This record gives sequence, structure tokens and C-alpha cells, in this order.
Amino acid sequence: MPMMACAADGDETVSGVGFTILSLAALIYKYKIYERRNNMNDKVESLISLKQSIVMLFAGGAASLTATNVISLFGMVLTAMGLVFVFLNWTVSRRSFIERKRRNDLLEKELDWKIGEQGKVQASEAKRARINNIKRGSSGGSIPQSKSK
Amino acid sequence: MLANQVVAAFSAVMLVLCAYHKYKFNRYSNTCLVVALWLALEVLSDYVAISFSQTVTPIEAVRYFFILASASLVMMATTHLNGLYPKSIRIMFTAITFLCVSMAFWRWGVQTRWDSGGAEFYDSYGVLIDSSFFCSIVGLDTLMIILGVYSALDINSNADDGMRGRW
Repeated sequence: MPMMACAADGDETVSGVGFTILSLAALIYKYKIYERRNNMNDKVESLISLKQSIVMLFAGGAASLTATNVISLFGMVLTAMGLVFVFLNWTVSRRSFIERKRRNDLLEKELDWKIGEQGKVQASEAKRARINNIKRGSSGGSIPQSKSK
Repeated sequence: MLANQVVAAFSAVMLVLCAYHKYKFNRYSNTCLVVALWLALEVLSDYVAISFSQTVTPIEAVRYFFILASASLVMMATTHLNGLYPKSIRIMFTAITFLCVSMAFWRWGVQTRWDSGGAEFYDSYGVLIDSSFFCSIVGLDTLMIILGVYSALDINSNADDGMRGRW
């Protein structure tokens, strides 16, 4: 690796490349767990939730591989922080996901309740109509059983 | 060198198995193909980095382990993000990635500091660490081969969903 060797010291290069690979591995691993546990098919949303770590990872990797000594060291630190952020961000986004799921569940419950109310109103209207028909004697001797008739 | 020949032979056999299943049953086991490609990548990275040499300089060792780690990372991304592969093979690729990076760190650390205490440390723990790495890679490869061959055998059942169906 001649290009990297002239950009940075050997230790920095080796640890920079190593941490980049480790961070990528952790990112892939956490991303899949995130998607699976949240039972979520929206890949874009899970990528957005991990965007800080992705940015830190790529910026750190690029800085540590291309820059000169001090900036390269900074890039290495940034990459290691990206590795930590993958783990931290996971819990944060998990918490916000739980909150969003709670609200969504409430909304769905409300919708179910409204649909149920509407159904009750319709059923009582149909019942009233049937009773009126029987009272008026317009059913011709047979009681209509369903609304479609 | 012998280990590489064995790995290459297994890779070739499993690739041929996949091709045969594609020809005979018009489908093949994804796991078997991934394991065969991974074994080929192992031999290839050895060839590209150090040309099967036994004695390596620190830069060559680091290059070899990072190429192996990158290959494992690619396989890891494939198996994780695709959803077609069993959990055990995903865990194995993750383990191999982490193992290779830590081996690169270890070899770089000990070989660049050879004169200032590295040699003594290597004499004390080097053989243990290197052979534990080698044994774990061999063990993981063996498990992978078993898994790949079993899932390939699962393809060719024409009677029920069990293994070793009648041909």
C-alpha cells in the first residue's frame, strides 16, 4: 500500500484500515438486526436512522487513508467514533421507533373504534328499516334477512 | 501450501456440484455457492497477497489479512443483506472479518517491534496466537463446508423435502 504509506505512519494506516473494516462490519450487522427486530421493510428509513454513523465512517476512512499525519490521526479517531456511534445510535433509534410505534398503534386503535361506531350506526339503521317494513306489512309475508334484497 | 490445495479442491468440488444441480434440477443451493466462492476467495487472496509464501514481512502480512478481511466483509454483506442465507453462515463471516482484522493488528504490532521486545513476546505467545487463528479459520471453514454440502444435498430430493431423496 504505497499510497497510504506515504500519507500516514504505518501504525496509523494499519489501524485506520482495520477500524474502517470493523466499522463496516458492525454497520452491516447492526443494520440487519435493526431491520429485523423492527419488522420493517423500509430500507430508506433505517439508513436515515444510521446516517451519522455512515457519514463518520466514510469521512473517517477517507481522512485516515488520504490525509497527512495529524489529519490522518483525526480520521482514525473519527472512524473509531463512528464504530461507537453505530452501537449508540442503535439504542436511540430503537427508542424513537418505539415511540413512533406507540403513536401508530393509538391511531390504528382510533380508526378501528371509528369504523366500529360506523358499523353500529349502519346496523341499527338496517334494523330500524326492517322493523318499519314489517310494521307496514310491505314484506309480502317474508321477512327480508339481508340488506341486499 | 497443502491447506490451500485442500481448500481449492473443496471449492472446485462445490462449484461443480452447484453447476450440476443447475443442469439437473434447474436450481442450486445459494449457501453452497457462497461457501464455494468464499473458499476460492481465500486461496485467491493468499495468492494475490503473498503468493503462498510462508515467511512474510509485516507489510505483506497486513496486506494478506486485510485482503482476506475485505473478502469476508463482501461475503458478510451479501449474506446479511440478501435474506437467503442461514444465520450460522452470517455469524461465521462476521467472526472471520473480526478475526482477520485483529490478526492484522497483531502481526503488524509484533513484527514492526521485533527488535524492541517483539521477539520475546512472539516467543512467549506468538505460536499460541497464530495457531489459534489458524485453527479457528480451519474450524469455521469446515463448518461452512459441512453446511454448504448439506444444503446442496437438500436440493436434490425429488420425493419429499428430506435429504437423500431418491434420484
